[in-house]
Amino acid sequence: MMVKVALIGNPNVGKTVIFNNLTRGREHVGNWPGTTVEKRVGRGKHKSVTMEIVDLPGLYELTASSIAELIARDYIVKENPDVVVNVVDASNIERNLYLTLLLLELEANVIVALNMWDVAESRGYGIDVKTLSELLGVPCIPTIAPKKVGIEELKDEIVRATQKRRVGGRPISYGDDVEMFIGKIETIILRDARLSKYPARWLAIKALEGDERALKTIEELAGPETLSEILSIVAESRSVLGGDPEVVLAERRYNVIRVILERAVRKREVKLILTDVLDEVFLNKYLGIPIFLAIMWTVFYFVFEVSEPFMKLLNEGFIMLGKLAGETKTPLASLWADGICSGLGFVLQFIFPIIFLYIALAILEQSGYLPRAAFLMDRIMYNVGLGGRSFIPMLLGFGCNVPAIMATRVIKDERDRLATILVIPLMSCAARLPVYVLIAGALFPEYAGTVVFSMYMLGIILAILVSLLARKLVPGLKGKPAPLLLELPPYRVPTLTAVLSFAWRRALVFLERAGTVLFAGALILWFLAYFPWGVEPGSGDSYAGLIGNTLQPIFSPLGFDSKLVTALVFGFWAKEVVIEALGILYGVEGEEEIRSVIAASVSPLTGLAYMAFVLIYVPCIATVAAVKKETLSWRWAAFLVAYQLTLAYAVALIIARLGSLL
Amino acid sequence: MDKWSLKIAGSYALALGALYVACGLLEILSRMGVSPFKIDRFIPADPFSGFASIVVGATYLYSVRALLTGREEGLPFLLGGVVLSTILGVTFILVAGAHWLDSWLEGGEFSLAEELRPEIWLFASSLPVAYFTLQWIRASGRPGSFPSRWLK
Repeated sequence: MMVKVALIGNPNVGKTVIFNNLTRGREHVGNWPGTTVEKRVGRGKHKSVTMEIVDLPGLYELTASSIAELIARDYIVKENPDVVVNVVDASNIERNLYLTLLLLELEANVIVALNMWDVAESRGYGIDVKTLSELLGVPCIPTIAPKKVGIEELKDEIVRATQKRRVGGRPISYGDDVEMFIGKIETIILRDARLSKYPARWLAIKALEGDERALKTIEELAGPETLSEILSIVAESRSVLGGDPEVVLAERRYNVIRVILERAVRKREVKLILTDVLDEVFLNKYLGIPIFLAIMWTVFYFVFEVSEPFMKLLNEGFIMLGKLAGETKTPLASLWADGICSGLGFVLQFIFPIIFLYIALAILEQSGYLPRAAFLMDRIMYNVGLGGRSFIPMLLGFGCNVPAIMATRVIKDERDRLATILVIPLMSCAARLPVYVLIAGALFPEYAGTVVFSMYMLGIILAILVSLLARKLVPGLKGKPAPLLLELPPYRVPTLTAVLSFAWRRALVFLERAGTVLFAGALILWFLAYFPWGVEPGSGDSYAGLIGNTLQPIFSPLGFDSKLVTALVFGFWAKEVVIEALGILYGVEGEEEIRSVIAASVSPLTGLAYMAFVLIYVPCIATVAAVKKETLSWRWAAFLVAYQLTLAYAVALIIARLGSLL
Repeated sequence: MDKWSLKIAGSYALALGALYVACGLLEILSRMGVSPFKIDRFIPADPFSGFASIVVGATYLYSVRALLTGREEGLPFLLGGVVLSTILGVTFILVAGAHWLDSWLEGGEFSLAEELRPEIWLFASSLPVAYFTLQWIRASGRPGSFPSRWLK
């Protein structure tokens, strides 16, 4: 027996951890059809019932105002899952129950998981689960997801709910005045069989609230006459209710929640709430930002230093593999040793800094520190023309620019969103990390971690300057950003499983790229560097050399030789290819050897200028495509490429010239 | 928490904070080549780790005034200092482990003395404060006992 289970809840309520507990990591990650919003589907089994679990996007409401909300709403209405598990933050129950009420209106088969039970208790909340279940008309299960507390009970309840399906919970009474209008619209909806696939009361409420999608559905299915009949009732309701029905209904829902909480929740005085105590320090007016900078430096230092021995180990493995082909006298042997093992193998070892970076980011995210960082940065961000809401997508950009650009959808103001999209590529993604690791390790061995950190800081400073200028000069971006409203989740101790699974998922993305994009890149680069067959690899006689020699004069003021230039050209494909290209073009195997060659042929100043250029110049092809997709315009994508190339050249030139004066 | 305990904690935080700031400054000055002492074997010349140490020290020092006058308002900063010194200390211990692994793989030398950076021994010195703040959290933040039906 297979049942469909949907997981839904506000952001930061521990939904993902519950998803992982229910699926035990057996999941498939894709996109919702026609969108770039991530869709996670997993499977779990309990008491011979197989569950297909769909993780719906985190949201606060079920209006039609955002793509995430529409996805969730459409999924529940159209796919009609057997069970909807509403994950609720028990320590913030008043706000979370709003979504619960909306789900009950949708007549979903709801189970409420009262997650973060321990946090609620430490904050002085005592919840009478039995009374709460009775008042809502649906089962409520207390859970502490990271400790797997309540998960078995939740599974039991899911199985029970699928066997004896209830339709929704107890309907909310909005008061006679509102109910009269809901009733009138409901009667019209029930009259038309074409609307029967939608819950009539829910559709009536949505229509009364003026929900554009609901009204469009009514018009499409029942015709314009039915719609105008409903619209006249909505218009009448405005005068009777004395305001926008959407606002009136929201107020009434909160009244219902208040009544429920009065009967089911007790609050006692708590002398100390750990989150408040820590916030006093981490959000302190004077210490907050220095602490943030110190933590970020520690992250990069950790990433660089700890990944080093693991990289060496993998590198040795690839050198041994490369030697299996013996002397590289034939093209096939050369392809194996110089193309695959030396090129692709070389770039693969950088999976370790990437894994360690994601481990650090996962710890920061799951501990609850990242939203605080956004809060801290808000004032600075606002002054430079970006809202605090831009900070999280920008921070995600340190991982990969593509999902970061997609994450800008959380920014509601279109100009803020566009400004953020344009500066995200200046956030140094994980693909650029290998370039810094290699060059900083070769040219600044004692301060490599610090040099890498300074590249990240340079990206942030440039993003601030670009944003500042763009908000003043670029048509379509001029103006002040919207103010930030942000919810700060409680601090939590991250769990090892969640941190490792987050890092592993991202590492798999890198491995997938290695198997496709980077493998193809290695083959092309090997061909260009070693052909015509018989020339010295990467020399001026090779195809790669020809490309490098043609473009090199443009870059000579920056001090880049033809090999460095060729690597930059291929970096447009994917930034890791810069490293792959250097491995192949220098024709040496192993990280140590390449470091020695770089140390011998590139000055520290040129290395610094090169790292800055790699940081700033055109983002990879996938990022450009994402910008086009999210801005729905090639114009903005072209603008991005043009300004980044100009900026990269200017900054690298300043480093090269100023450095030579010092 | 009684006044004497708070005053003792305040004195300890003052010493720790001052040491962190001093080490941080020396790390920065060593990098600039103006360190007054020849101690580069024990204190590395690294301006960024120096900055991080100063931040930890400042957090400890932030707690001192309140604690020395017997007020609990300083305890959050004492806890913040412990959290930060743990982050820094654990990171440097992991890095020392990575360096050991590196030298083991390459057959090179590994000097424990060089790896024992100030951030590590200052972290070890912070452990009594960690114990003290844990006691405070346990005493103040223990969830009260609701009647059983209010819990499940």
